[in-house]
Amino acid sequence: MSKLGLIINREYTSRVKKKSFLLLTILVPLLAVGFMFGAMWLTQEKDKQVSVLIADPAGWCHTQIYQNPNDNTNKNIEFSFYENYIDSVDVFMTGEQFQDYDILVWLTEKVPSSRRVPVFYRDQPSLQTEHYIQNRVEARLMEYFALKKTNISQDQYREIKQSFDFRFLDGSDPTGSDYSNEQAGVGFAFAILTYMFIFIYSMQVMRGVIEEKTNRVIEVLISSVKPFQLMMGKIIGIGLVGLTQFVIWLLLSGIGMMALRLFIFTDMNDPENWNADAMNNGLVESSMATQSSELVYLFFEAINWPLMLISFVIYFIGGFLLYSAIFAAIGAMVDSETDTQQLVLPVTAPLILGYIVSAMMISNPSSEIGTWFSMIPFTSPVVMMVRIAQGTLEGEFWQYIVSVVLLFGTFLATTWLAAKIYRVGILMYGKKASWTEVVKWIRYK
Amino acid sequence: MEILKVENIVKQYAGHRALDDISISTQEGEIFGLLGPNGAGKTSLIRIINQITGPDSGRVLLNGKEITPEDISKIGYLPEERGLYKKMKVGEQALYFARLKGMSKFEAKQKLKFWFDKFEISSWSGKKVEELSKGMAQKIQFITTVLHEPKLLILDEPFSGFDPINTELIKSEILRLKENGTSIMLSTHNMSSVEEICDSIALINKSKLVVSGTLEEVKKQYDSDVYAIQFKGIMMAFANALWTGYELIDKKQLDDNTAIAYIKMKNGNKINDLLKVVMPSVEVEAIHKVIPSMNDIFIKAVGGEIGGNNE
Repeated sequence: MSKLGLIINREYTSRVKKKSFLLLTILVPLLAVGFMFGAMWLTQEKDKQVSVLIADPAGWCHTQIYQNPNDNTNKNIEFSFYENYIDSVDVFMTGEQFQDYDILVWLTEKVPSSRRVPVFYRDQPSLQTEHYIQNRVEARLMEYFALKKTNISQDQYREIKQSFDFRFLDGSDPTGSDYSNEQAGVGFAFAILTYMFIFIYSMQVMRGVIEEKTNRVIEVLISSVKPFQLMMGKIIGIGLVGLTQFVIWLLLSGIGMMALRLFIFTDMNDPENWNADAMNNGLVESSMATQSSELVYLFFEAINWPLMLISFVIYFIGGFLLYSAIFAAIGAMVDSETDTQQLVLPVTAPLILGYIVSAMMISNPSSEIGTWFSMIPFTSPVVMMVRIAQGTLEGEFWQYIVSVVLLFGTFLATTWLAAKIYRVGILMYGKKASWTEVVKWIRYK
Repeated sequence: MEILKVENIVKQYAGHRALDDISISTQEGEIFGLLGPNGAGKTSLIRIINQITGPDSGRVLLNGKEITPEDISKIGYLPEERGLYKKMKVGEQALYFARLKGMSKFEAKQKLKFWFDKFEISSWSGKKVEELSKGMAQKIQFITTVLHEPKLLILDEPFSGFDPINTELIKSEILRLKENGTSIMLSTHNMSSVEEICDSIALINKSKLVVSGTLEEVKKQYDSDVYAIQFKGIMMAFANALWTGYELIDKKQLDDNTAIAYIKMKNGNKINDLLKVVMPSVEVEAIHKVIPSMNDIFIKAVGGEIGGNNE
């Protein structure tokens, strides 16, 4: 094995074998998938049967509440009607004949003018239940007053009441669907992932350099290998650790998603459910089933996953190489980690800027600033991920090429410069170097 | 035969000259002491020989040929600022360093076993370095320096951090390596060990070479023609007996009636002349020429200056 290979091997295995790495690599996706499972499970959990009494002395509801048979929340709620006056809440709470009801919707004569409907409960219902009761009763009241005060028929009213579905579609692809928000969300998630990976692993390079310096192992090493080999060995070794972690996360997430589809959202496997419109009755707010079918669409149609994942790898490698070389130089310039803070901040500023621009691009996908920052090497690894997810690269693929070429070109330049600082800095003990000293180091023979 | 020759090395750092036209040479199979106060430029020179940094001008020859990066495997270097990876196991670490020096895994393992057995530290192999004492870590470092059997060993302050027992152990190892034909260059502040093991020395002060040569040559150079004369009698009477041809530079009272006087000869006077002068006044018990110790030479050469910058 070459010396570079030996160094890469040591840097890689010493980190991958650490318990903390194993723990983080396996636990994070498990936690993430577990969290998703949990969240979905909770929303799917059947609410306990709730019995709602509507005190409706004026008979506005006509002892009827429309419940959509397709909505799975309605099965747990049973509406009953009481067309007499209830004098006070106490009567409801203590009255023998009301003990079977959990919730009282009190439609007093003031309701049409005050627009305020008091609802009393014995045990606080879930938000979903509250929402559902409000939605149903409100629709009924609206309909009643609309029919009473105008001459339109019930059918006409229901027709008017149908909500409008606004869709923002790409003019060049009018048959497509509007998933720009979801795409931006996925892009931003990847931007954060790229940002975190670059930052975390570059910091590891810096810590590694400082460790070798403070341990005084550095001079032993560079009597055997060139400083450049040592620096590159460390950068490549740690970069491989990052890639390993990403691949494991990807595999575990894939397995997790598959399990989610097979065991929890079995309806997702049914192509019938893939059409969001089929579930939309216009009166009921988006239900579980429509949400899950959108999720399915997002996962399989709206995002170009192969391009997304390949780009993540490319931009992580490029961005990591670029930043880690600078971080290696910083590590060589200082004598302990406490000295690094004021040096790290200006270096990470562009990375943070990239993060901010990415966040901005969620609301403004074709922003010109975004286009520029997706090509500037110090921000491109983060910003470009959003653009790829949003699909704004179509027809402008050259920008992707420019971005990658610039990124790798800049990495070569920063590495060259960092190596010059590194080779002098690692032998300087006892104090933090000033910028003027660093400039002198670069000029050393 | 010369193994290492350093010719007219100049190294300039921002604002100061670390090495000013240094030329030294070491013979094959000898122990060469590189001496000098802190900040004199020893470590700078050693780093240039190890090709860690490059000189501004001048060159380094190994076996008569200009040194190249491939020669690294022929040199074993123990830096003054030395350390190990704290979290790494002793055995793995030693193996790693050996392989960086170009040894095969198999060869390195065999040699490591030999040295670990020799220093009776085989049981530490699976321990992490952070569990070891400083002296133990120093032993590991020494082993990793000599493991690949280099022709030239460069040891920067090899005894620092060792207790007297381990110092002796390392000293005897250095001498044994010398017997086996290894050439050794060492820098140290420990002057008694220089006298004990060095064949020749070079003394650097303020970036310049002050003195160099074999131990005898250097001592001869610093010979100040001083004699120690031990006598029975009164010091006052002894002093009064001296004429202008002698200078009493120091004295030591051994007991009530016995003393040693250190006399510097002047005007070409010899021992016999001195004896003739003092014998009437005191009873001479012994007389010998005072050979300057390395400590004396060091202090004299450096001019009594203390301290300096870190190298």
